[in-house]
Amino acid sequence: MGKTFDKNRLGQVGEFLRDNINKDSKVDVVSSIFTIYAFDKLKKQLNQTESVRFLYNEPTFLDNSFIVNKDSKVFVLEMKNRERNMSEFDLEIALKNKLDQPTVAQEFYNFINNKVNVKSVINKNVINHKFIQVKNTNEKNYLLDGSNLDFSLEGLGYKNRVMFDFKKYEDDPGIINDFSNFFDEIWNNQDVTKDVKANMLEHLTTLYKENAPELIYYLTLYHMFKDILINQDDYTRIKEKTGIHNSKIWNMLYNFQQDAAVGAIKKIETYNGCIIADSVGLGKTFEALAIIKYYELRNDRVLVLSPKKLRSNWTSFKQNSTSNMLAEDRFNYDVLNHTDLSRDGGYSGDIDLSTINWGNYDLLVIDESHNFRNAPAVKDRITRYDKLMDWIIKSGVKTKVLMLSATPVNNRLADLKNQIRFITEDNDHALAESTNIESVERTLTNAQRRFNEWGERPDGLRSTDALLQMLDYDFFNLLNSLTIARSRKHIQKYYDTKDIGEFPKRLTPITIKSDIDALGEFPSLSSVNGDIAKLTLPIYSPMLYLLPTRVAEYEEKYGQTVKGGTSSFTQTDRERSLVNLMRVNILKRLESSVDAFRLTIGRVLTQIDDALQKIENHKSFDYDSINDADDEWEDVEVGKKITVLLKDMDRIRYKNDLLEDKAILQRLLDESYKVTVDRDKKLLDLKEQITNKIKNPINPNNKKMIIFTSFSDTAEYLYKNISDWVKDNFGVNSGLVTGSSALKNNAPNVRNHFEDILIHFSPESSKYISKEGSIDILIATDCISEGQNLQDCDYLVNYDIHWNPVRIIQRFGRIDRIGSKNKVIQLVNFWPNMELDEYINLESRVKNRMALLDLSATGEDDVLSAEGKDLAYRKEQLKKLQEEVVDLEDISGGISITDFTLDDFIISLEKYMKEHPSMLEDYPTGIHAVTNIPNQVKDEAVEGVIYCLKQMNYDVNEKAANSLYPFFLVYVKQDGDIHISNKSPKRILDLFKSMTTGKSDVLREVVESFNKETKDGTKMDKYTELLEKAVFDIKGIAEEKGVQSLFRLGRSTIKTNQVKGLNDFELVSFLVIKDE
Amino acid sequence: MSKILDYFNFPEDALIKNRIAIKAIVEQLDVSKSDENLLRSQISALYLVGILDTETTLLKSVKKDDFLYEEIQVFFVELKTMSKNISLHNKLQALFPNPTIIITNYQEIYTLSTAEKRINQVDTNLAVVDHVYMTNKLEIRNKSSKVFLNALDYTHYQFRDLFDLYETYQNAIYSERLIDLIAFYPSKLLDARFIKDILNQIAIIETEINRLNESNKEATSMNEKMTIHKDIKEQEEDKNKHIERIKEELNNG
Repeated sequence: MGKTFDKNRLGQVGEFLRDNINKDSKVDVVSSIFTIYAFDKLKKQLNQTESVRFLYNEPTFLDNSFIVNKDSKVFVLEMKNRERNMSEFDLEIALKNKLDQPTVAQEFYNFINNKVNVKSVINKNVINHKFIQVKNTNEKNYLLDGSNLDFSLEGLGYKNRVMFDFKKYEDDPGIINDFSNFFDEIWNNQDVTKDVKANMLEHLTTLYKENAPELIYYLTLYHMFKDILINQDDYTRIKEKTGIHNSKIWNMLYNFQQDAAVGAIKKIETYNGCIIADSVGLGKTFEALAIIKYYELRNDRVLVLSPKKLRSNWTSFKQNSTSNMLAEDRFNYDVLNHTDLSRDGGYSGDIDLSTINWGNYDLLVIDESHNFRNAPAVKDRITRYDKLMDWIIKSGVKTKVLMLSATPVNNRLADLKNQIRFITEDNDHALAESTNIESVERTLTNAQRRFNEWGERPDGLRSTDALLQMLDYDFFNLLNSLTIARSRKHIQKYYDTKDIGEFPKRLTPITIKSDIDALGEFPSLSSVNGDIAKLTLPIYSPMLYLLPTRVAEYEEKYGQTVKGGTSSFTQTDRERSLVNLMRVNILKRLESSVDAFRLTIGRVLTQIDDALQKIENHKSFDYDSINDADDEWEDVEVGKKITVLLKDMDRIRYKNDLLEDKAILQRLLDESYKVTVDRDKKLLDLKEQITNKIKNPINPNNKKMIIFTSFSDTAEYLYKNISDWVKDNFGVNSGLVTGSSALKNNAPNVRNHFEDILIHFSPESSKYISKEGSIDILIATDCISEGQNLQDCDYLVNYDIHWNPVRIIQRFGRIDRIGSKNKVIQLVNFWPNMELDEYINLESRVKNRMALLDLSATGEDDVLSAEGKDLAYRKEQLKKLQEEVVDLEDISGGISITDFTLDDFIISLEKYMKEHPSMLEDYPTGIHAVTNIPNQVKDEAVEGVIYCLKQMNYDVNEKAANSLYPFFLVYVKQDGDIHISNKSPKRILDLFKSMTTGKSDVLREVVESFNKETKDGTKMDKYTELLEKAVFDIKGIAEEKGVQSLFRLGRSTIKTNQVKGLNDFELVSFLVIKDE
Repeated sequence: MSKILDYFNFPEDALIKNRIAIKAIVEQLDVSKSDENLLRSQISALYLVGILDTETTLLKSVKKDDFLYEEIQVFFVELKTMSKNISLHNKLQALFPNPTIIITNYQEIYTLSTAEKRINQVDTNLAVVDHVYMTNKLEIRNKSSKVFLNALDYTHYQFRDLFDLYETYQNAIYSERLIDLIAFYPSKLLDARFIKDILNQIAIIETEINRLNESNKEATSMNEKMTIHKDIKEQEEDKNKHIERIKEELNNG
């Protein structure tokens, strides 16, 4: 007789089975699901049965040979899903959080192995209904059937939710007999069913076997990033079809550089652009060349915009020349200088600027893109920024943008804004659909606000980690989407050494303090400084001598609005700054070399004489608001010509000031002439360095040395006095490279061309075969301080200390590069002969030039307020530089976008998946591994657990709102304290990576210790408690996401983001960390 | 907090209690310094206490070109002071783009507001506030308030959709302002826009009456005083006409 189950009674089916399964029962089950937790509930009864036959009524655990139909992809996906349901059935997922999955799975395995035969139907729709039959020898037999009678906790009725299902049981012997025959018929029909016990057991082993740490790491990455991978998958296929892998450039890249190139192409295709912000020395140019090649292979037209001084870096790879190591790749891109954007006509290389079709480029590569971090609003003038945006990017064909810069962020996170605008074509909402970032500007403004708050904290609380915790996810998301940024430290720490070349070891910098005059007769620096401070320099500031009645008219003509019109920057402001700047310039030249000082003073005196002459002749003044020949000005947008009429000026005061300046300068000039070459103490010290280096090379037979100076006058002076001397004494050739076209060398058969000199100085890094005419001493200005590969050289001398400490690191980056043949490299810094404090104060008395540099370059007026801060910062950095060579990331004021992106992890995951196809896709979740702490992270890692959790109820619309959401990572210490909160996912991932990379086998010792502690996984209470601590850490974040949605029109997600406890999360994986 | 919320009798599922940090508002919405000062100086704590959407009310959402009624949010604000209560209601209504019921509480005094909002056509995630409808200060223990509070009971109404729900609450809340005029809370709800229009006109009349009273004090001649008195009477008649209009509306249908 049949009876129905009371649907309102919890566990109605399960409890019935519990009561009616005996030790000699034979049980037959037809179901599409068989979960380990349903087994766990009835294990006592099931284990005592005589036998069990389990028939999957939908294809499950079948071999590939059965998958033949055309819908095979969907078929396999559904099948895999059913297989995963064994431990990941939606309604049972929270049970994994008890962390007893391995134990339950092992018991289940034993049960299946000993008692159960498992078969699956080969095709769907053979048997749609679900049954459980219990046959007892001496007692009643039962047949249970009904809708939703799966062998899961829900199917057995153990789920506390309203279900409108109808389940019943029969004990009528006739019906039971009929069913038995029916079941046997199907079970024994080999055309319809297939034995899948072995496959099922194999899957089960993955649930309880010990896992290697590396696998857990990649499994965790897989779950967090699989959607991103799917989105980008198509582009990978395109990439392979182009034949990029056969190009010379591709095969020259290190693995990590290939990763960057692939990553960048995906970003460019997905978001229309990418900023490669790898740190100095990691080979951004080569990464970019591979990307260019990819687009050229797709027949795209490519334009490279580079600073003038790096132009030849790019053009040299296009040339059909034996010295071009990439000649066979036949690069065909156009190259223009940044400054060409300010020109309307003439030629740049072989490109006619008056006829060039700006709008016809498919890919724009901007080298050193930080030069465009400011978009100045200049009155009545189209700036370079405007032209780039309107003529190249917005007009004509769709232009994708690749930007290269080691320092896209200078001192404000908002520096990124203007660079990102190129990618978004100035559409603030461009990323709303692809990344859920509603407003790029707001995201950056918020980040900047957090950054400012962080900046105001006291020193001890201003760690990078603290900053990371303060920033919104949107910001990370933005960077992840648009940038690739890896620091050298990061690559060394987290990449396997076989993936990267060797970096040379940096020796402690040598500090040399030189006097100006070997006889000590030249006045001291501070005394000269006193004289310089007295200079009024009217030649640079005629506007300051305007008659009061004329001022307004001139300001109207030459003033400029900044900050979108909310503020103004007058020409007199500019001139005041310029005067200060020139004072500093004169002092810095003296610090560089007495010859540069002499030449500058000579030039200023000529200008003064010229001005005095004009006063006599009643002429007006035409002058550039910045007109010094300093190399650094090359890429700075200079002001326009200013014309001041003499009749509008206070001529008497002007003339008096000119005469006073003339007297001071003439006296200084006379003194400087006394310091001849043989009295020039600094030059003598340099010669001593050169002698010492050549006689005692730090690497075998390496005599190479670069001497950097900020001023071309000094460079030429050094070349004049060193080249012949070093050739005569040591037979060594020298070369001179400056931005102002002074190119010289004394090596035989080497032309005085920029590339020729560099190639002969560093032939191996340039892949240049001939060793004839090798140059060993290279004297250069900062025209080669960025972007050049000169790592054949192992010795770098800064003949003067650049105002910007970043520049010193950039200079050193020329020899401090991956793939250097040198084991060690040396930095030598020449300092003025005084204490650093005194030196810094001396400079500050004149003026802080860093602020001024920005001021003149950008026209923004708020940088002046940062002046004091910059001085303190600079002092700190310079002090550091006396002791060690620091990384750029460490010196640039604490901000480096390499701290913010997760791209590296995604790239390494892709690689792993390529090497281990289908492995991660088929792997269950909720699993763990045990690892130890390697030496390189001993100071950061502690004993504890890293949990990866997925929020179960989340809003799909918010999915992309952060890089990890709805996933969370938390690192909990053994004692339950949070070691690293979920707000610092990158830091956790970094540690996760370094604690698991290369550990592709189970670490027996630590695993045994863990198993002992947990009694082989049966006593997991401690780890469940730690998991609860992790959930508590997450709670706030999930709710914060909900709160944010209140500020948007439409449905909020605040309800879905309500987190009550452990059951709101699915455990993806956990890594147990033991310090043994 | 629950005292006044109990009167609403919202469906159980619609109730929620989430504290919203002022910091979150400031950062998310990039509010001006003066607005930030307003929020920080006035608000002691801000809670989201109710979400009325299709799921929690089983009512359909309504979307038109100009407005979106997909989710009605109810906020409860504990105040530090009532010094800038009107500005605060206006500001909060502007900050939350969805149809919103705001309840503020200072000691035992409450104020409620709703607002008419249009979709911002430049950024459709935001809204433009056309009118804010706010009650006078209420004390729960007052008898007159009790009738009003009973009118807030969700279960008293049959709503067509979420738009109707919000309109009904808007009318119910703003009808509180009529107590001052007609001495009782109306048994029938009038359109809040109509009430606002009348209240505005009455406010103009009252300003004029005040001005006339002031002139009366300064007037020296009898003749002058008589004229002013006549004008005051006329204004009062006008005011009464408006009040009568309300009563007529209440009696109609």
